[in-house]
Amino acid sequence: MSWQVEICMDIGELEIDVKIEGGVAPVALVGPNGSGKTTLLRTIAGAYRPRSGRISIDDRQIFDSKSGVDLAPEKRRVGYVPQGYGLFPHLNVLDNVSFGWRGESRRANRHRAAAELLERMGFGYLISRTSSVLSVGEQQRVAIARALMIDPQILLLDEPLAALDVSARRTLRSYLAKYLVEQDVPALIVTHDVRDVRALKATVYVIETGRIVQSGSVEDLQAHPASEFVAEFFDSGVVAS
Amino acid sequence: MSSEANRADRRGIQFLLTLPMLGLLLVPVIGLVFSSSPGDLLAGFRHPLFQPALVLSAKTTLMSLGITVVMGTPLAWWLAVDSARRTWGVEILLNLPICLPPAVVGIALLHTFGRSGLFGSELAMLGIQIPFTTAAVVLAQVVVSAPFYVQAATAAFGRVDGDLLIVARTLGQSPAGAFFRVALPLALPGLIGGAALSWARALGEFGATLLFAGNLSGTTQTMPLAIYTALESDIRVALALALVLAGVSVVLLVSLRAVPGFWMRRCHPVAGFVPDGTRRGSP
Repeated sequence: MSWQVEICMDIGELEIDVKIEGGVAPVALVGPNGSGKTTLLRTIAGAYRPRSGRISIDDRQIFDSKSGVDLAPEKRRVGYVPQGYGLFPHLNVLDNVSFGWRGESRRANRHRAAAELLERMGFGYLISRTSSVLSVGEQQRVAIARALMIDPQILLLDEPLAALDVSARRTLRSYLAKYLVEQDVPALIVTHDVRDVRALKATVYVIETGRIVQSGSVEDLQAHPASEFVAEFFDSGVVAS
Repeated sequence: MSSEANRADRRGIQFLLTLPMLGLLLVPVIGLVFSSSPGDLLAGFRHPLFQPALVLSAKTTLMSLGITVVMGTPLAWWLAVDSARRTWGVEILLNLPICLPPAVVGIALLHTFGRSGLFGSELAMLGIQIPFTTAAVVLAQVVVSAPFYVQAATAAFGRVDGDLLIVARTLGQSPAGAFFRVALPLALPGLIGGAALSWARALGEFGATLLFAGNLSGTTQTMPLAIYTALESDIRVALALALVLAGVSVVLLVSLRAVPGFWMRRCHPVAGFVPDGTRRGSP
């Protein structure tokens, strides 16, 4: 399983020109605010059309400007979890999780499938939360379960731990790291926290003003930061010349 | 203690300053309610002007509301999701009927659909006559009231988080599916509010209707026009009609306040829902 993103595009004033690739292991995308991280995730999800380039997941082209391939978001098999998790507030937990279910259309069947998935993920206690108050951490779990419901070829997680308090963040960070390995689904994760990157053992891509300025392992980047942002992010102090 | 006394004084002065405006707005309504006896009102309800005007107003405003919602919703959606660069001109034009005096709208409609108007000869060839018919009443109501709905619906769609639509698409929904299953339910309180405002405006429409549709009992004489007519003959009918219109307005106002809150409590089972900020360019 491998995936590649090589695209050029303009969004407002920002020109994005990036090349990122990965395998089953998580890839972390870090960078300052406004550098194009969220735009990149939305583009892979199919919300924006790049000017040129290609996006492929496991040899399946989902976008290729040369051959004119541009799959609609619903055909990409991409599990997208935006900032704030993007749960549909007018639907309960089971309706949210089963939203992408493509099996039998009867509500009871959809709910059964969603409940089974939540049980498998260890979140069976959320099934009965039809109209209850979900904590931020629970919203994150529901959002990830919903994304997994479509059997995605890649998970796109936009700051999945940002809204959590310190304690919940620690717990969910370990959970996410363990779960992504178990699921065997590639993941591209936007984060602002170096501890997330370490816990996920992710390959890091650093994006600044729409360009990838450095990529590699945490250790590589920490040892040889290519920019002030990278040095600050990994707290390594000195920018490599 | 003295600072608390000062604060109380300030609050008292603030309240006194609000009284003139509140009085100006409320006293005429109170005057209307207490201006006639139950006997007068009953006589007004039984007057031959009353029932046809009430029926015509109900019929035409429901038709104009239907047209406004069916035609205004796609326009509002486009205004909410397309880039501001493409939509700003249309948004300004949409406000024009709100700013124009209704009499001007009436003249404009007459010179567009009238016998010697822009489409007059074409409509005459097809055997269609719009001015001074019930269709003219509906058309005038749509033109003056639709901008209120479109504005409210645009704002409501604009508050739907664009990321939710992207998520819906990645979960297998077509653009139409994302609209109907996510955007529409989330924007519904705003759409209902806009529809109520638009309906209230159509119900009170007078100037454009008078000029474009005339004042023919049973055909174009809506309640505001019947009030105008009754003032010259029987003030009791005018008061009865005015009270009915005021009653409908109060019901609409209360609904406008109550529906969004009720909807949020009833239909948003996931915690922490706050209609999100506008993001244009969503799929």
